[in-house]
Amino acid sequence: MRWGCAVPDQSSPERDAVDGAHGARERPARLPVVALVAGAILAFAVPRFVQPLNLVDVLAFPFGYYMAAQGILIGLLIVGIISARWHNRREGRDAKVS
Amino acid sequence: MVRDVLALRRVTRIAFAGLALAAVLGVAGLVFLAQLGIPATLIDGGYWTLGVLVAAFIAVGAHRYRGTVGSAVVSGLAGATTVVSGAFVLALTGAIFSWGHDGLAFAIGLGAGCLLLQLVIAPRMAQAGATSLAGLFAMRFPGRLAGMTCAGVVVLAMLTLLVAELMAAGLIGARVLGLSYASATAVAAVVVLACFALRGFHGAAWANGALFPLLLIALAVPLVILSAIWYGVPLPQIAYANALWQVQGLEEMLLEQDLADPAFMRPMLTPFVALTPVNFLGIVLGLAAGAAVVPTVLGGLSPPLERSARSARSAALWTLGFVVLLLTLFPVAAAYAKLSLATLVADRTPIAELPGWVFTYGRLGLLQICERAATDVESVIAACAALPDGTGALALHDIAIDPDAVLLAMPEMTGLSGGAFGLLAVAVLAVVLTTASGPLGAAVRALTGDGRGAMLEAAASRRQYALGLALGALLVGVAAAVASRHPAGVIEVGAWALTLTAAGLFPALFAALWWRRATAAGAIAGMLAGLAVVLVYLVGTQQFPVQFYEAQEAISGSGASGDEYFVELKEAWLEAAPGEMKDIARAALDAHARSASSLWGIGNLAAALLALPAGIFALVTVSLLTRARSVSAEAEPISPQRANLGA
Repeated sequence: MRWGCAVPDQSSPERDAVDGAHGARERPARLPVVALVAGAILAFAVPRFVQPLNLVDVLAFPFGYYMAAQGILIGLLIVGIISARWHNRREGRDAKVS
Repeated sequence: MVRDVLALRRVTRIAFAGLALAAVLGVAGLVFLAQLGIPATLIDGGYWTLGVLVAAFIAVGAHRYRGTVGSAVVSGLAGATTVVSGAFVLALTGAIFSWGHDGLAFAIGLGAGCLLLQLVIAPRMAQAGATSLAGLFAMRFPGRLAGMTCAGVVVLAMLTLLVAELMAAGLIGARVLGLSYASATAVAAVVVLACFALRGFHGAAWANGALFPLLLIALAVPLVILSAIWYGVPLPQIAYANALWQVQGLEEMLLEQDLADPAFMRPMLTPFVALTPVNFLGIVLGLAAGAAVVPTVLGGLSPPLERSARSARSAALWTLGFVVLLLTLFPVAAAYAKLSLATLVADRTPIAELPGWVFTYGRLGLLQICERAATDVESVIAACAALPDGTGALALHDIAIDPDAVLLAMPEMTGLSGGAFGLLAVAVLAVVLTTASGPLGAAVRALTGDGRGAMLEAAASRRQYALGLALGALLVGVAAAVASRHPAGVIEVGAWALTLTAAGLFPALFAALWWRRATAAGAIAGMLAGLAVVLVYLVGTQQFPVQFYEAQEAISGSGASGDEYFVELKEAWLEAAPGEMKDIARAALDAHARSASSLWGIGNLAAALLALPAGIFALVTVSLLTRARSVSAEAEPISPQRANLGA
């Protein structure tokens, strides 16, 4: 099973012209497995533990409810930020190498 | 080119700030007129007119700047407005208010969908040179059948989303225009069609972002004021911790004093009372996969000429950020509304001294007290006196407010002035009317085959425009007819729309971007299988609940024969004399069967739990069984012209 199909031919002249805005050709984006797993844990696993987490107070909040109402969403945003930075840096490095 | 971009940025800044300021000033003017003694009905009509004007301004702006691309931040603002959409803006507060903790599943699902969009969809789509799902499928799954299947799924899902939007617009219209819900929905449908006609089929998607600052102000300002006054902390997301504890204390007190019924109560902080954990996760899954796909269906996802994963990722990240900012406000609004209602009951407020908002929403049929619409004091007193266990004091379960009305009622429930309600009504109405153009446009483009680039705006002839508009009118008419029947709450219909999108399109979209072996036949099989499962589940549980309930035993092992209450209700219906009694018995039987229908405990809101695996299984199996005919097509260089498909 091979991943990555829809990205067009990397050597196409049109592509080079289009990507010229960044001065370098972009490698195909990779599947961000770690970020996906982290996001899935936040969205699907954390809500299962709201009841026990409610026994803990954090900044006057019942922690379980806080996580479901805001913590998970903020966690998803942090995962998004870290993943974007990591992939942008990696793709920039790959482009320099090529 | 650079000068154009800079000019566009200046325009967006002026328009985004100016629009919010103009709306605030407009509301302030109406509040001032109200203080001069202008009748409240005229002022409310003014709010409606202001909301329509804002939506029309956005539509004209989107048409004027069609074909242009906003910056990452502007795209993020527009993406956030589109993903959350007017329907969820209106309904999320009510879902959390009435379902307690379990209503948060919808917010988590939408947030997770934005992350999914950023991680796996937006970057690869940008690199593939596609800005819409139809454009990508045209490249990846060539063939008429794949296009038609995709169009069919898009039309069904977007029509459902349009129904949710029209329901929301009808509800706001009913509140501010004083019309019946059905009439207000019809009026809203006409306005949506007019905005769609003004906008054209390819209006700039980023223009919707202009509504986000207004929406944020309208939602945040009342909550900041309440947080500052009640708790001395002007940050709602922190201050409402106090409200949560107060609500919990009041709920316990009301239970002790027999002013709340434990059978009906859904405590704010207790999880899995309204939903089982499986259904909670099913909603999160369906909304996440659906919300990740919706921006690609609506088009205008990322800059069409800049095939950069980085820029697409950046725009999607801004979308996620703005969505999180917005979604964290809804639990606050729900907590404050719940606290106000619980306080009203705990104070043993006499019926004669109930606040005016109770009767405002009662007259619209959105609030019942003692099982009857609270139209006036006398009718409430009579209804409560007629109850067999009436104690004289109102109990929490005696007051039933329609969840979809909670957000609009929140400023009045919490004692804020009319300006807060006016600004909220204007902002939410404008968002609803504007975001309704998205699914309508997507459905029209799918029906005309325009999603594949056959009718780009520059080449659109007058005849094609008229055809598109006629199709739009037909779709709006169908959606308005369904919406006026009020098939369920706005949150349910919105969730069904995203579940349909997820089940029908997510597996094929993911495979198109990430799995080389996926074939057109596999994609068709995946789309049809996912769609079929959701449709059977939704239509079965909603339209034929009794038959579905009786049939589910054969599949899941649990069902009607072991349910004594169902058997009793069915016997009562069979034995009832034809006429009103038979209809009432049938309605009771349907309602019970609808609430009990589920395969393996999965309710219809969580249908994605069954449909997504079915779609993935069909896609993988058929793809592996069919030869990858499209390999040569994939290897073709994609020209910048093709990159514009479906923009």
